[in-house]
Amino acid sequence: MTMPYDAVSELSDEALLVLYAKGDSLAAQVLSRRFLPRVLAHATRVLKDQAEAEDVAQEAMLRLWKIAPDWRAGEAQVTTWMYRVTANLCTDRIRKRRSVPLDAAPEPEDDTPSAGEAMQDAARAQALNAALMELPERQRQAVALRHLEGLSNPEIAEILDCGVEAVESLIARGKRALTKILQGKREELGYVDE
Amino acid sequence: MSMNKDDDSLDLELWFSASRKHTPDPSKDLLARVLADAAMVQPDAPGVVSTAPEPEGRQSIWQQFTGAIGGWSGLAGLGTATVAGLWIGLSAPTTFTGLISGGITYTEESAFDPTYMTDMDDYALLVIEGSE
Repeated sequence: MTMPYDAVSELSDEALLVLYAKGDSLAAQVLSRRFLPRVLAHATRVLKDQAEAEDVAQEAMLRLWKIAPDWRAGEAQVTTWMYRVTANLCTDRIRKRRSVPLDAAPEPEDDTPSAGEAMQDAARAQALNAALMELPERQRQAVALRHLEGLSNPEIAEILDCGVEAVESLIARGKRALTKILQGKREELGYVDE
Repeated sequence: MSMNKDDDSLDLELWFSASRKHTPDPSKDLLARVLADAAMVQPDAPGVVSTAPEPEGRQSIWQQFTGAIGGWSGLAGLGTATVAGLWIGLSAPTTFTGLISGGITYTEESAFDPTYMTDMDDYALLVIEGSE
């Protein structure tokens, strides 16, 4: 018997993993649509390389498929586990390319139009992503997980394998650095304090 | 998704918000790759036999024969045994005296003496029995 897509899509992450492990093909689709955008977004922000980010996202999803039959219900949240795997894969990638200096990350384009809110938003997003790349890796991960992925500090502590206080410190330092970096971009991007 | 607006993040929230709006969606190609991975490693997929599949159709006599003797390794063993048997048959001694080493002479009594038995191989014993 096959469940309709709508019914499957309302199931919890853990229930979907059980379904997948039992051979249900819809479960994989629902889990992919649920997690792939999130892990891809985080990997893109941390790595700032689309191809690498896609590789990381695919690998993170593959690890989810492989662990599904052995998933222990109640021990961890699937979301937290996915971000943790993604964060570790990103760290591995960054270690491998240590020889590339951080300031080699592309700067926001200078000729970004200052008119039009959509264009401003795009320029801000680009500027923020570039500024994130100037942060040390763990600060970048912590800030992105908190302010872009919307996770709580205890969740981030679990993902980054550290204490909640360390997470708070990482985020505070990261945001101070971001503020300093982005100060110079305000006027050229048309940003006005509200 | 709730975002945090504590400490000095108010100034940054516009930037975070802009970044959230411009998050790239996974491409169809990436989604296809992910789903292909999922199908590849999925256990107990319906209709997929996880054990070795049954042979298709009827087996030939040759397949039944090789299967019965343990496949190609069994066939090789059988060939070796056949050649060895042929060689033993062709090189069998033609005279009985050649079977007994050290100049031991055969008598009716000594043939059944246990001390001599140890010096004879099974083939010699068969010849002795056959000659009686």
